[in-house]
Amino acid sequence: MENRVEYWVKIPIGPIHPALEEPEKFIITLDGERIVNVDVKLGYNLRGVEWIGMRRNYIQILYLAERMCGICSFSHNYTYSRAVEEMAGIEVPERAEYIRVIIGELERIHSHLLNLGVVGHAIGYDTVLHLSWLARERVMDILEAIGGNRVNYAMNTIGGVRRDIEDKHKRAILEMIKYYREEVMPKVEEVFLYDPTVEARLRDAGVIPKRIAIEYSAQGPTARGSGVEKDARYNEQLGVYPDLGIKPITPKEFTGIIKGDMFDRMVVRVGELWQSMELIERALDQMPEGKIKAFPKDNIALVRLKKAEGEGIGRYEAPRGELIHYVMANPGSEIPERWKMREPTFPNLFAVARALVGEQLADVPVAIASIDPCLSCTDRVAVIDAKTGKKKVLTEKDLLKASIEKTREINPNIKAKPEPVGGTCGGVRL
Amino acid sequence: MNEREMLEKRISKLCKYLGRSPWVFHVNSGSCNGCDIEIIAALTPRYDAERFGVKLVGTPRHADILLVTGPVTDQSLERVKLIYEQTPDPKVVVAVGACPTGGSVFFESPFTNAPLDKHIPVDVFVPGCPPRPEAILYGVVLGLEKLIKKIEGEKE
Amino acid sequence: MTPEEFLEMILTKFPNADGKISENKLPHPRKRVWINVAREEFKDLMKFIKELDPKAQFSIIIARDGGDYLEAKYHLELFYEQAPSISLVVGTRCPKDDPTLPTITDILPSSLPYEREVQEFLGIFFEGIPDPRRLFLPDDFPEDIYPLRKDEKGISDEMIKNAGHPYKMKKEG
Repeated sequence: MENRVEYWVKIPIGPIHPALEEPEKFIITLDGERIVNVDVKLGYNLRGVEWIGMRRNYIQILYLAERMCGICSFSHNYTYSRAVEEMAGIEVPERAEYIRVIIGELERIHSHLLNLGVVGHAIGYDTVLHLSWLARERVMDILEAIGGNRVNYAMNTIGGVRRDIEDKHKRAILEMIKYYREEVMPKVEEVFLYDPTVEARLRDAGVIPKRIAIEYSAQGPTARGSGVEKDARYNEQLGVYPDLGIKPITPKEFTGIIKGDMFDRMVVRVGELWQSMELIERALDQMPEGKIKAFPKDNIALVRLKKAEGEGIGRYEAPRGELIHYVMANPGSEIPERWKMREPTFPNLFAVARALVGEQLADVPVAIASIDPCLSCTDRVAVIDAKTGKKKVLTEKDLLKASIEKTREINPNIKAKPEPVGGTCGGVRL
Repeated sequence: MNEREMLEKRISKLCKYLGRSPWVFHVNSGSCNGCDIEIIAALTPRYDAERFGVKLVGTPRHADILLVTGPVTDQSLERVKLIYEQTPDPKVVVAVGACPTGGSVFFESPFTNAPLDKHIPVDVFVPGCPPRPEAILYGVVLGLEKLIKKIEGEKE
Repeated sequence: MTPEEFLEMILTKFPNADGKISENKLPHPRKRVWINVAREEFKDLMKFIKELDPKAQFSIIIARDGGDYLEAKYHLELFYEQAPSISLVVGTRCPKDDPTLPTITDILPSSLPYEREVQEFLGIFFEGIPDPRRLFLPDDFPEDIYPLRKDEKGISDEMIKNAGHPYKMKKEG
């Protein structure tokens, strides 16, 4: 047609500051202001993890799997040990199952708080970023006291957990939950449920209809925000979760309407924060005494695994969606025959790429932040649109500026400046 | 006076000597983003490096200190070198985490090129997986002292 | 629908396939259905499964080099509204001198990125795939090398870059 304008955009997915003259970050071809087609190009974080996994034994892969993602490290550890336990038929003592639930839910709380801050920054509310990251530090203190490190603490082993939760930890956890309930959650709800500017900005933007969410197999809060009621902890009857009472959370319980836009996904995350706190309290009540490991030492586990044969699958609900690991044994050797995993952002990204067609440029950074990309895996997305013509290079600052301008039209009191501050978490697959 | 207050005194003295506070640019060369979150947590109100004026900038042309994370993957090698050349002198490179130091768990792979020393000159290594935010601040302080030596060396 | 009824229905329609149900040792034991089928009947089986449950969720393709054959397994989740849902693994094989499999992107459109990834890492070609470009590997990676294969088409020793582990480094003088 007439003048096609081709924009070569560098999209701020994650803490990569794209001030580089490299054209393939995001190629958005715009038709006026609307996007027409989205293409995905990955591979920036290719480290060859599956190739490395063909040369490590069962215990060494525990540490390798943890370092796939910097924020859901416990989830990868847990899913891998589930897969090996299913393959070899190992039974886990009950106290260890309860400890796994508690640590998993603590991780979910701090991951959701991180994402709330990032979305707040992307629409111009910088104070939300600083306050939620400050609130998150209480959880990190407790994880450090139990696990030994803030991130990558390797709590799981094949057949149980490595460290126990003592009475002083229990008191600290209950105090932390009380603090969150009284001080942090009312502020979070005030911003993300009741503030009219945020609602006007996030409503009806980045909509993923239910049909597309089912067709593209979206996972996690992205799918639940569109009305698909699935949750791997509920569908799999995983561990002791059915005894603690779990159901998938949809926006219907909070606002009553389901539209599948960005606002709904944030509502689902706020709901999951409440649910995690209740699950932790119930688990601390019901936890029995007993052993925490099936094998007293790791070498004994290796000897047992050398004789195992068969294959096993482990599934778990990470903060971003469904994680799945597969292990196949090689009888007589300590090295598994095949190990494969898939993280939840992979299908989510294709679903949101399909949903961005027809939207405005200013919604792109917020839409990508609202599916909570475990970055590293999806650092390059190229969007190609119709008309030919000039090429223009936009940087992260321009996109943030456009997004903040749009918020300013709704509420002129926003004083944020478009400073990039880094982004979401990471976690790549290969 | 405990360690933290001594650290803070050192930072403010260095900033006064330099005349302005250092600006930091962060490069990710294929990491799992654990170290990146600790870098950003060093700027939030708990550890608060922003009160000294240390802030993250969006382009390497304004930066004094480069923070690099990640085992240097094949597809990010060119970007890291390009960013190094775009940063104006005098500059300091800080390698954060165990990945650029020696590869960490990815040391033997057809797609990674650790350590970072082989490609660009590095001034400070901060080990840890991931290093604590206080450790990253300490690494930045050591980098600042080296920066001052470089500026004095130029003036002579 | 329970896993046993489901397996009955499949085996009556496709008597050449073999299937089994495995159960693990959790506090609430979980059953999974594993089916192995030949390459020629594979696409019909997927169509039949999609008719049984139009809202099937597709998770992953696991591909493996097994010596002189290449194997691919597909994991699906059916009936996700009930707890427990049915977790199904469908496997098929192809010989190494004829590494092709039929594509299922017309039945389940979300399987396209997984097929692209298997194509570039193991060398299985899917007939009829709408978009055969590379997904993860860089564009200048040599054409005939498939990183996850164990034979001569895999990664050779010169391509491995070693950062120097103190116990494993080869002494070069």
